[in-house]
Amino acid sequence: MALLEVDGLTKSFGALVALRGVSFSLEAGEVLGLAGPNGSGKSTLFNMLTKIPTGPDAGDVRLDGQSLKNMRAHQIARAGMVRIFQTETDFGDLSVVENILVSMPSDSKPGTKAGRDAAMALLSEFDLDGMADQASGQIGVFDRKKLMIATALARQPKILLLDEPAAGLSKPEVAAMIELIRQINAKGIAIVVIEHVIPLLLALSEKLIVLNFGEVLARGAPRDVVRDPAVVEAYLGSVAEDA
Amino acid sequence: MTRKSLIICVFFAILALLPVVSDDSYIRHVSIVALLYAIVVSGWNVSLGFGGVFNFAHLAFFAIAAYATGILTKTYGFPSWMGVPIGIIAAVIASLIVCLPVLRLKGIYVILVTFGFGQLCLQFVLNQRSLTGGNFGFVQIPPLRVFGYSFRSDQAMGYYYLALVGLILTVVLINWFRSSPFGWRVAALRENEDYAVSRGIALARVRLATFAFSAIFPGAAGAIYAQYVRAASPDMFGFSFLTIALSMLLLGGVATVWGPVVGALVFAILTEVMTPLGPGRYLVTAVLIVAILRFFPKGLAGIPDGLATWRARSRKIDPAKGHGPNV
Repeated sequence: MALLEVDGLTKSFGALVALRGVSFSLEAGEVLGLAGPNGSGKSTLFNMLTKIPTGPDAGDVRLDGQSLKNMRAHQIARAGMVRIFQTETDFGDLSVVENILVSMPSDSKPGTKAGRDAAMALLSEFDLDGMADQASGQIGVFDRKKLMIATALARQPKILLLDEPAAGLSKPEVAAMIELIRQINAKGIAIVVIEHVIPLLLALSEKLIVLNFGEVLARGAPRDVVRDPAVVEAYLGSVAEDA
Repeated sequence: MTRKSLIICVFFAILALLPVVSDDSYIRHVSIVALLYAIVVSGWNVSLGFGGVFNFAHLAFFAIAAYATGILTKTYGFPSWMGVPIGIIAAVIASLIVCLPVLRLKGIYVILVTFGFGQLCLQFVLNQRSLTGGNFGFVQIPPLRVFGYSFRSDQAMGYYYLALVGLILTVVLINWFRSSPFGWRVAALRENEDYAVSRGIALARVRLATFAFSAIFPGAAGAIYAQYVRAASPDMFGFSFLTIALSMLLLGGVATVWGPVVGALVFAILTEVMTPLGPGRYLVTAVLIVAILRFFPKGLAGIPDGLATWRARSRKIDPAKGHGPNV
């Protein structure tokens, strides 16, 4: 049984069909890439998976065999599927370490010294421990992106949904981000990553799905998908150089 | 002892010694009311300031506590020492009732529902005359008496110290709240609701807990107030109490522990000092509030930080001191 099974997800906004019968599965520890033109439904797919702000009109999502139909958004996060958003998001008035502590499950005892020690250990993995007591709204873009991922890990997820983690980063930062995602995946956490940076997708993904107008245009091994003529025509414009 | 701790100790020591220095009944009355306002406004700061929820039913919790205390101790014969527990329980129950419809609302809609709740309570009070006294108010509430000691004796000294202890407990509780996992969750929901939910924070449960926690303070203050003035009136649901409390909160500074306390005390002193101006004192007070918020948007509690930033900037651009940029 796959860790995540997505079956026929459909979502409309008035006359616009944002997602039409999207299905896929994800095994434990696997990395799945999601690509497609702007407006193709990638972020909407994440919204439907996490029910933030709302769930799908039709279709079902099963996490570890359990349907998410009757779960609320916070319960999905607690069940083990946690996302990061496209733009750097944080709890700006809280300190960096409080951002981690507030994201921890209650059984990690975030209000105790043990909880804080665990939060500091997590921050040190992301080289953020030196700014633990700074307000998170005052740190740089790359650090805020790292903090957003660190808060997701504080929830001890089974699946991490990354929405354009490399957006707005310089080349060295993109390389560092790829390494970071590899390290997270090495812990056995499955990852679904939306990205326009094709080298990042090729470097990380075991499978790649390309969406177009809310439907799956192509799926398969990343190097095969980026050479697919339909993908080249609808999205890439030319065969990805690094493929 | 840090400088901040020393200032806090001196502040409460001055308040504790005030009845020793002056036994003037008018000053005593103003002090008690100011302390009770500080408690109420600190509680409002939990939902409005720390939580970012425009809960305009907060003063209704204060009034409900006053009426509940009055009715249960006078009509139903509950002992007067149960006034504060009764007030707290009544206010918390009311907060949970009003919170349910606003769990998933935002902004103006929260204001509409919570303000409407207060008006609904007012209509209930006016219409249930046999129970509440209607528009005459509920009067002759039994005063607080514990082990034979009347809190009204010695120019209501008992009420003064009860209100002061209430304020100290309020500051301690809100200080704990701010740096607790509960307080972080409340702040996280204020900062970014979607992000907070995506980190497993249960919006409905945390918001209910926020309302209930914030209602403890007007609950206690409402009970003490009712036993002190021996009356609960429909005015307590009105705009007057609401705007005074809101002015105190904005003047002091939202989402800080000390802002509401300082705001309430300064506002009360200002209003009394300007009594000779008659109704004009409200105009002067309003202008002062606007002026303070113009230069210190975080209110009185933001003045130390604001001055520090201003000093740092002055040093940077003072060419005589040699710290300025080479232009």
